[in-house]
Amino acid sequence: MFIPKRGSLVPLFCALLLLTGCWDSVEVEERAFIYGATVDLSDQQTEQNQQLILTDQVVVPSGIGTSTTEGGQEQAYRNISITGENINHMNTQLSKKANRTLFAQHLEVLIFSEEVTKQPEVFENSLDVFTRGQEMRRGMKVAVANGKASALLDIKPEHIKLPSQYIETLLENQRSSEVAKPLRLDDLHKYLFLDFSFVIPYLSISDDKNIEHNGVAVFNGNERVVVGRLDGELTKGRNFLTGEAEFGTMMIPVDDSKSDSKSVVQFTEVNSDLQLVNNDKNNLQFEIKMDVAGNITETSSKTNPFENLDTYSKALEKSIKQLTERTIEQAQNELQTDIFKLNVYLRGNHYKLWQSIKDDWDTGENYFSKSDIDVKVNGTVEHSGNTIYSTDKEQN
Amino acid sequence: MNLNNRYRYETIEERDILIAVPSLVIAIGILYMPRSLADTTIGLDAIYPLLFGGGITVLFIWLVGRIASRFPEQSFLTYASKLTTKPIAIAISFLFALHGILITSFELRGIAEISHLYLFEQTPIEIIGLTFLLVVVYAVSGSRAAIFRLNALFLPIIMVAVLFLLLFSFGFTRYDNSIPIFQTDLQGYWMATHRSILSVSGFGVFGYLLFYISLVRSPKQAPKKAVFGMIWVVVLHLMIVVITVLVFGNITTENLTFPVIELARTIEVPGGFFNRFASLFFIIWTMAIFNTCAMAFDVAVLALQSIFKNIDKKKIVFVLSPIIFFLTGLPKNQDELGMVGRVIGYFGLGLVASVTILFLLLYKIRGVK
Repeated sequence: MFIPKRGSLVPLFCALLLLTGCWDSVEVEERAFIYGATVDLSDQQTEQNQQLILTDQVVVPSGIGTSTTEGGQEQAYRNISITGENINHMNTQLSKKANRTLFAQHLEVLIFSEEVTKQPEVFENSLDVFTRGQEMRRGMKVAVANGKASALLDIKPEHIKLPSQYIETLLENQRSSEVAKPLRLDDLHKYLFLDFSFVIPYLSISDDKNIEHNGVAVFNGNERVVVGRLDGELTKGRNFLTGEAEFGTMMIPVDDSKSDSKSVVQFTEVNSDLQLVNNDKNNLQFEIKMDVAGNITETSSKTNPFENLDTYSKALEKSIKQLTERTIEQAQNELQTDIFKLNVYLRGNHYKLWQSIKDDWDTGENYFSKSDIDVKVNGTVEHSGNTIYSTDKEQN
Repeated sequence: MNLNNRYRYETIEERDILIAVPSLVIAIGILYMPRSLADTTIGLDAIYPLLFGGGITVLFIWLVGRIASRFPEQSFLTYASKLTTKPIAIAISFLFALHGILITSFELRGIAEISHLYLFEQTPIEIIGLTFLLVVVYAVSGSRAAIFRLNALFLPIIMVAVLFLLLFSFGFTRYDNSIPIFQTDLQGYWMATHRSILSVSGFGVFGYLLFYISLVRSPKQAPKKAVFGMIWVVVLHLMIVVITVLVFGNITTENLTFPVIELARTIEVPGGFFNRFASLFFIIWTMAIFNTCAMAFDVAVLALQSIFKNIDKKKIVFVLSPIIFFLTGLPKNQDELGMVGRVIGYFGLGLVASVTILFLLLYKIRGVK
C-alpha cells in the first residue's frame, strides 16, 4: 500500500494545478446560442465564386426572461450577418461582430433562400459545414424561403419571442395536408448521398407578424438544384400519393350540376400503397392505391349526407383522383422530377433495376417522365357530423 | 510453489470471466464499427456477416476457454511450457505482452482523440492522454482482483447507457433504411465478415482469457461463461448496427466518422436533460475504454511478471507506462490510427488463433496434465 510521506505531498498538490481541466471552460453567460441561421445570395459577386450572406440569429437571454420573470420589452434576439464565400470561414468572421462565443449546438432551423438552392453546387457546398462540424446536430430542420431568407428572422411573431423558434414550431405543425413533413438535415444528407430527388418545406412571409408555410420546393437529385416548386394544392396531391397526408381537409363538389353544392371533408386516415406493375425499363408502370377516409365537417349541398354517404364518397374519390392526376402531370411534364418517393421504393424493392436506371431517372433520358403512374382511389366518408339535414316533414 | 501462492492470493470467480469478456471487448472499436460494416454491404445486410463472424469468434473463445481451463491454478507460462517448451512459451508470452501494450496505447490514443474532438477542443491531446494513462496506471499497479471488481461495477452502467441509446433512437428509425435486402455481393460479405470478427473479438483482446482463466480457482464452468460473455458482445454489436443503419440509412452510416457518437447526438428527448445525452454517453463510454485499457495493460504486466519472476510488479508498470505513452503519439492522424488498429487487430487474432490451435493439438497428442 502506498502511503505518501509528508514530503511527497508537495508534488501531489502541484499536480492539482494540472488536473483542473479548465482549458475549455466557457461560462454559459459568455456563450451566444445560435438558434436559427439563414443563407442568402449576395449582390456582390467575385469573378469565380458566388458570394453568400450568412445570418445567425443569436438568443439574448435577458430578453426571454425565465419562467417566473417575464422578459422585458427588450428584443430577445440579435441577428448578425456577414458576407463571404465559405460558410465556416464566415462563421469565424462573425465572431468579430459578436461580443460572446458563438455556440451552434442549439441551432434548430436552417433556411436557404430559393435563389441559393437554384445555384448548382452552392447549396450543397454551403450544407457541408452543417454536417461536418462537431457541434452541429443532425436533427436541425431545413427549409427554403421565398425571397430573402434573412427577412424571416426579422418577423415579429406574437406570443413567441424568437422568430426562429416560431419557424421551428411552424415547420413541425402538420395539421394541414398542404405542407411537407419537416426535413431533417440527416435526411437531406442521405438523399444527397443517394442522388434522390426530394421536397423541401417552403416558407414565405405573409405579413410582418406571420410566416406562411405553404407548398414545397422541389430538389432534383440528379441535377443537384431546386428545379421549381409545388403550390399548396399540388403538395396535397403529392402527400396523398406518398401517404404522408395525416390531417387536413378537402373541398369536394357533391353535385356537378350545381356549382354551389360544395362540401368539406376532413381526413381521418390516408394510406397509399405503391407497386411496380411493369418493370420494363422504357415502359415502367406504377400503380398507386390509396385508401382515404374522412368525415364531413361542412356542406352546402342539399343532398342529405346522413343518408347519402355513398354519394359523398364517390365525390371524394373523384376529387382526389383529379388532384393527384394533376400533380403527377405537373411532376412529370413541368418539373420532370420524382417527388413521389418512387426512387425510395425502387431502390428498396427493385435494387438491380434501380441501379440500371438511376443515372437517367429524372434527368437526361428521364425514365420517370416516361413512366406510367396509375392511381386508384378508394374513398370512404365515415361520418356525416352532428346535423342531419332533413326538412321533408315540414314541406309536406 | 511460490507462484501458485501468489495466484491464490489474487483469485477471481467464474462469474468474473463472464463480465470480463464484454468489458474487454467493448471499447473504441464499437464507436466506428457500424461504419466499417456498412461500408461493404447494402441496406441491413451487415447483420449476416456479423452473425457469421460472431459465431466464429464464439467458437474460438470456447476453444480458448477449454484449453486454459484444463490447467487450473497454473499460470500461462507454466502450462505453455508444459505443452511446448520453455523458450517457446516465453516467446509467446512476450508476444501477448506486446499486444497488450499496443492495445493500451491504441485505446488511449483513441479516447484522447475523440475527447479532443467532441469535448475539449482547446486542451492539448497529450494532456488528455496522459491524464487517462495516469488513472489506468493507478488501477493496474494495485490488486488484480480490483480490476475485475471495477469491471463488475462499470459494466451494468455501460449496458444501461447502450440500452437508453437504443431505446431513445428507436423513434428515429425508418423502414426505408432497412431495404433492399440481400443485395450485397460475396466480396462485400467477405470483407464485412473480416471486419466483424475484428470488432467482435475486440482486436484480439478476447485471447487474454488464456491468462485470466488461470486466476479462477475451479474453472470448470469458465469456457461456458466465456461463451456467454461473447454471445452478449455479439448481440450488443448486432443491436447497435441495426439501430444505426435504421436511423441513418446504410449510405450515411458509411459516411460518418463515428456513427455511434452521431447516434447519441441525434437523440432528442423532450425535457431538456436528455437533449444532451451525448455527453452522458461519452462519460460512460470512457469507463468502458478505461476497463479495456486497464485489462490490456494488466495482461502485459502479467505476462512479463511470469517471465521475470523476481521483478516487482510496480517496476514493470513504471517501465511500461512511458513506452505506452510514447507509442500513443506515433500515429499521425485518425486515418493512420484506424490502420494501426487493424494491424494490431490482425496481429492479435493471428496470435490467439495460432496459439489456441497449437495448444489444442499438442494437448491431444501429448496429453499433458
